[in-house]
Amino acid sequence: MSAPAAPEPRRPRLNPFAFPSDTAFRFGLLVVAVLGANLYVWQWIASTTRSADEHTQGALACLDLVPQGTDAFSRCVSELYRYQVSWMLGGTAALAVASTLVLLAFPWWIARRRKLVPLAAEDAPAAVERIHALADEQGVRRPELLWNPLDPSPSGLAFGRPGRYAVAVGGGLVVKQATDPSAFDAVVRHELAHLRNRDVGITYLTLATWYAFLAVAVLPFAVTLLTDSRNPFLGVTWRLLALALLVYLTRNAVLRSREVYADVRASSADGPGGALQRVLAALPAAPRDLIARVRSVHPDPAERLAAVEDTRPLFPLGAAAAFAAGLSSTIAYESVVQLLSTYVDEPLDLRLLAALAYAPLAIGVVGVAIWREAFAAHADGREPASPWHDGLAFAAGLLLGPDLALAGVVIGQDTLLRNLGSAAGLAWAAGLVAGVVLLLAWIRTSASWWVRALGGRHPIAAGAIGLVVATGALASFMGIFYGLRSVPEALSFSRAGSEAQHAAVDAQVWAVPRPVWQFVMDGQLLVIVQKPVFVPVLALLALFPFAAMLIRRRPEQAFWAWLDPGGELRTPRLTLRPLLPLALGVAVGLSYLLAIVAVRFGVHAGASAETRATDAAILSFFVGTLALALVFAFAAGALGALRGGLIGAIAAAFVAGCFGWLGIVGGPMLGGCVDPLSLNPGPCAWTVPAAFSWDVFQQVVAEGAIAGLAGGLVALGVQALVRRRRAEALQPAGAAP
Amino acid sequence: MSAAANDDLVAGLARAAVERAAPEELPLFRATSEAYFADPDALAQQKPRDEMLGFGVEAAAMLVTPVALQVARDVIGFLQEQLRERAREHGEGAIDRLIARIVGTDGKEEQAAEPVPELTDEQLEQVRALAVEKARSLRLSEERAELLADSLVGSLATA
Repeated sequence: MSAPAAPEPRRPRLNPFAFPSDTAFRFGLLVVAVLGANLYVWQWIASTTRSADEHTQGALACLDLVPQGTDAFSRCVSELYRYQVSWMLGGTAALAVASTLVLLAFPWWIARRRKLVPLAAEDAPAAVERIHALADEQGVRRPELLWNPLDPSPSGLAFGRPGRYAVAVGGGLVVKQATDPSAFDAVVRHELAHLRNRDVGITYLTLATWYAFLAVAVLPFAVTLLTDSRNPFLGVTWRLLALALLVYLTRNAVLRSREVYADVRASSADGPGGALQRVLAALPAAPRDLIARVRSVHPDPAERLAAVEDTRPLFPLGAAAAFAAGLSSTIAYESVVQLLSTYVDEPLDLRLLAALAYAPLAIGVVGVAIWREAFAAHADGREPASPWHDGLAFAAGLLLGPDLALAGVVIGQDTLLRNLGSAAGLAWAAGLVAGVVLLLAWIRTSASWWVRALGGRHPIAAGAIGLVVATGALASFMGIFYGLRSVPEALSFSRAGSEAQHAAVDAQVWAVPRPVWQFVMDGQLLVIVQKPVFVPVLALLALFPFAAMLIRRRPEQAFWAWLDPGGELRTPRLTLRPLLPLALGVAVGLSYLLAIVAVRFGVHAGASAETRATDAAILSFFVGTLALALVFAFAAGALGALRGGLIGAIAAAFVAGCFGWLGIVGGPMLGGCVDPLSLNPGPCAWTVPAAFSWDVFQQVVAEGAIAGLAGGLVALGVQALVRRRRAEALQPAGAAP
Repeated sequence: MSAAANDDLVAGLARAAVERAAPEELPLFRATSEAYFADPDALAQQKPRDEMLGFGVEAAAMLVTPVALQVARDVIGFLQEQLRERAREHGEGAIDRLIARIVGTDGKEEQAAEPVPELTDEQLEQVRALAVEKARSLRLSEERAELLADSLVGSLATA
């Protein structure tokens, strides 16, 4: 007879508290979404204070200014609606005051509803003393203690407001202190963990904001709706319900995740012999039906037990949370745009500034989770999970948000989702999805490289910098994306302008094909790439991951990474191989310089001095060399992608673009010094104005990045195809595996 | 009988039951009974809630004392009803004397002077059934509900 197998020892648990929690960001997004909805409501209310005649007269007066130029017209319109800003800010202040009052009232209301009374030492001396000892052990300030002697459950509750937290216990739990001290400790540690994890303040702040919104915004809103001639009641009602559902479901989902974190925190002090697992196992199973489960603020005890046993499932984000983050980011985005529109005229700047209200929180949710997952994956010696699922879910949320926005009652005819049926709409949506997925892929690779480079040191500083860069990228992307969508006529105008320019030049001298010309000289694209934030963000995107190479450290023990003793990181060291795309970028860039020399020589030899001196020839040469730089950037991107994925593509293209800039703006000096390379006579000195030089740099680098990304995608696609063909050749269809 | 006197009777019977069924709860009996008598209906409002930042929903109540107080209150009411008829035969003070004996506040001399009606087996069984049903409705586990009912009946039978 064989002896029974010994139970498998528990793997040391990874420390989920080593990373910032996404709770604050998820609740923060909800608060900002509610604030945005509040802005819209007060703008609406403000609009009802003026009659339709007043609006019409004001608009007509502005139209009279059209002959003075678009700036004068825009200023007039901004001033016409500026009175709404004071209403919107007043509504925000009212919401803040009401939220504060609700927040302060919450503890009183909970104590009243649960019939809680102070738990004095003379009521239950041993229990009180033990709770104080456990608070000291957990490193939290001793909370106010309350109890309901008639509450028979052996449970507790953490509540309160920032600065004054309380723990309430039932009579059943107090008795447990005598009958089952370890179970008492486990439950109290769980409640204290909520305080330590800072769940209480942020939970009640979010709820207070929501209830205050209902009182301060929805009630007066409803009154104005009833008297509104546009009859928007139905449209507003279902959108408000959608917002309420988002707040409710997100709140519950976050609370469920916080329960697990509280269990894990409690289990650390509870130790392997503690009673937490026994107490959790005794809890009744969660209801099976979906409605009851999403309404629940506690996960199924089996899930809680599993998380206490192994914390690894806590590290990834999950598609549902990513979707909610995307939805929260755009559900009230348009309201912030409306607020800022009276001060900012330029559509891209306007959208970018509005995006800054949401991007840090959205990145806080998805970006932190990606860094966490990268750390956890490498710690176990595996590759971080693909960002596809979370990226698609996040993008889906971004897509759906504008359709659920209150602002959609009036301006909801042209949302991405509604236009999905058309080819243009599909292209816009695909652009959004691609941008978001690429950004998340960038975060994943950056996190992976930095975690590996740090060799067991805490990646908090690198993560913070990386997430700031990602925030800038997301805000820029949202600003550009929604900005361009808001001015479709400008895109058409821009296309028509570059087409006319090409036709004029092509009539006089040779010019690159029209589609290439239009890409290089597209007016709207030039406006975008010459925004002050665009190139710095692009440079950081290209170079931040590679900066990890500069600080490569030897692996060392990382005690901070584990909850249990005996943990050992299996994180692979970062090799220098990822630097290859940068080297490829240099090689391609040098090739471009040689090509430019050849082109200059050819043009000098092939065209007469008179022809070369015409404006058309100079412009055609400029566009041609720019286009050539983009071809090299495309090639650099393709090569970089084969060695370093899409990050390699962007980095290689960025480096090649820098050489491209040098080739273009250094050309006149080169021609001045070496006559056979000159386009027109000039001095052997750097005479290109700095402003023009900077504009060219931005154009080459930004358009080069787009070309490089395209090259990278093509190269990766071809590579995948070739690998598949090879696999099929080695394993003919129908053959046994 | 005054309300205060009735509360004393309920507390006495409940305490006797708790001494048998859950002696570990005796240190909390005073605080619990004070809270109960301050708002007797509050116990019925105690429902398991899935509270935000709580520990989780418990399937069954763990505390016997509040349930014992509520059950004792119902039992006292039931006894008063049942004995009303017999009180006419033995005199108006019989109920008070019987219940006072249960809670241990009676004097030996009084016992000798006035006959006290005894509870029949059938009535004790009725009390037990009532106690079990009430305890179950207040989410006490089956085992504890039985124990509490037995303790209550024991207190009444041996009084």
